[in-house]
Amino acid sequence: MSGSGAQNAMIFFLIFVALTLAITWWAARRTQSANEFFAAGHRITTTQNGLALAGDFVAASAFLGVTGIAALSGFNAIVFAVAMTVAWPIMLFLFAEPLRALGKYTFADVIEYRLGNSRIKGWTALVTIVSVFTILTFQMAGAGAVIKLLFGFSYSLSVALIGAFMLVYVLFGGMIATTWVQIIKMVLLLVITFLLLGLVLSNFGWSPSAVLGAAAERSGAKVLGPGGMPPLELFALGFASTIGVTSLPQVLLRFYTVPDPGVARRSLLLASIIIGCSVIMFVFLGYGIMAVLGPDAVRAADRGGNMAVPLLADHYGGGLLLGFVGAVCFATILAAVCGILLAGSAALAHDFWIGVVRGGQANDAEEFRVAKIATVLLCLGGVLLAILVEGQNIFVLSAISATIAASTIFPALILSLYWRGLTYSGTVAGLLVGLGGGLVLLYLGPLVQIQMLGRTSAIVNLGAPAIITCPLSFIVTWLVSLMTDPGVSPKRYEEITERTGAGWQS
Amino acid sequence: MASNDDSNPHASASLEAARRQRRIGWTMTLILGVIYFTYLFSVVLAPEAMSIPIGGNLTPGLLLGVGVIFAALILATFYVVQANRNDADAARRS
Repeated sequence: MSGSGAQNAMIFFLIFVALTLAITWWAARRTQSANEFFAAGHRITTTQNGLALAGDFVAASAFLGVTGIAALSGFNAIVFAVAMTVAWPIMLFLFAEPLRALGKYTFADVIEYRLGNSRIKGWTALVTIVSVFTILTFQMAGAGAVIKLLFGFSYSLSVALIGAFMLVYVLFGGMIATTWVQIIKMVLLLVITFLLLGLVLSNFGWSPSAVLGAAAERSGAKVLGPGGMPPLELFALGFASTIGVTSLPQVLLRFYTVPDPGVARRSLLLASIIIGCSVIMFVFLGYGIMAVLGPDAVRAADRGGNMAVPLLADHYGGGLLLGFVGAVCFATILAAVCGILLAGSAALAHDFWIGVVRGGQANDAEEFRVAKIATVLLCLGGVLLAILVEGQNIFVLSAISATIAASTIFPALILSLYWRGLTYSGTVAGLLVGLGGGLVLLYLGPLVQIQMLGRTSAIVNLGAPAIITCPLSFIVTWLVSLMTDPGVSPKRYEEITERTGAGWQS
Repeated sequence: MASNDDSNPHASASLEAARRQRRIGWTMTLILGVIYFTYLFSVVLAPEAMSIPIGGNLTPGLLLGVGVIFAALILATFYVVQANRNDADAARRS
């Protein structure tokens, strides 16, 4: 990055850091219990939670990734945009209200209640930690690369810096600070997207069709229609993205920050609307970048297209705009890792320690203390692992996270809420088969074999194994449930039906 | 909180409302799923048809993609309006 760009980025970055640290200081005085640490005291409003949920999703992968894919190859971006957006209304229809009505801090609360067995939380904590830890590492490695590029620090120092900020925000400010950092970032991101879209459109006489035409002229009309990816692979990726996004632990955690199921429902609608409109803008912005800069320039800066937006900013506004975009990219990643860290901490402290080790019998002060210890441990682990994976293809880690969520959390939640016959053994079997099967297929697949280990071919040619492991987990849970004793499960199913949704107030 | 006792008229009113809510949730999921998979299959199986230029530089693939996103948002809005009304009804009756 040019010298003035780095300087401007530093200024914007310092403003953002000062603002968020002030918020953390304010939030820290309100974070004196586990309830405030994990769920912001259940006092987040509809608008705040809607923005924060959207912010969780519109992180680096959606903002830089979708625009990048559109700028490089055009059409596939709209398929990913659709796949990821569809997940949000589905979460609203099936998960939002029952999860908020029946749980305290985590999705595992509902599954535990349904099965009447606290040991299940050990298994859900395991899958949560695997999912959270891989995505944490992936985001930190991405952030390290961005900071290295922006400020010229070494990669290790960049990752350590992100880790330090993340730890301060989460440790002292908990969910309150995490939510506000996410809200500020989401607003900044919308501002920069509108600004860049305006600049692109003004270049083409404010005609969206002219932008698409110019993109097609540069790269051929094929970028406006499907192609360029094997059909089965595209289908499997679409399926994995949709199901994976509905069950990400850091997103489910936000359902508990609001006062009641009604607010959870309305905030999820707001989030869906913001996300739907954002991804359409990102795809279009990507076509704009293809039209203005051409895919070759984008590919030259980064093979995966992740630098498309910063390049466009540099093209239009030089150092000042580039600095602003750089700071927003940094804020995006920082806000995302805070939520992920909190989700991991909740799984360790609330689900594993309090739920399993202490059998649910511990006071709030102990839970708060354990949560802080878990936060520090996860943060240190994430920093170390992110430093170790430098130079690896980080999308492998992101695929692990979505695959695990789709093959474990999704089946367990759907069956807990909507199937009378579920048993404890069935749930455990489904979680383990989903986790093990997902990891094995990922290891044998092209992401690990070709991109990570550099082999010429994969043992199993399937990039998104969730299309197999998600149904497999459902089938295993069903079969094992048929053969084992349900215990209190059927009775609890009636209670869940009754307490879910309309008319029920905590 | 609603009690489990079916002889309690408040409980059965809230149970009925809850069941209706779950039914609507699954209906919406099904409709959205059909729309989404129809789109995904069209893109995967009929790429040529999805690439025909229509009206300037737009293609059915792009237009329908945006259409699926808007359809999802319309279904979500409908669901929330319905659920809010359901809530209000249940609150009035109990």
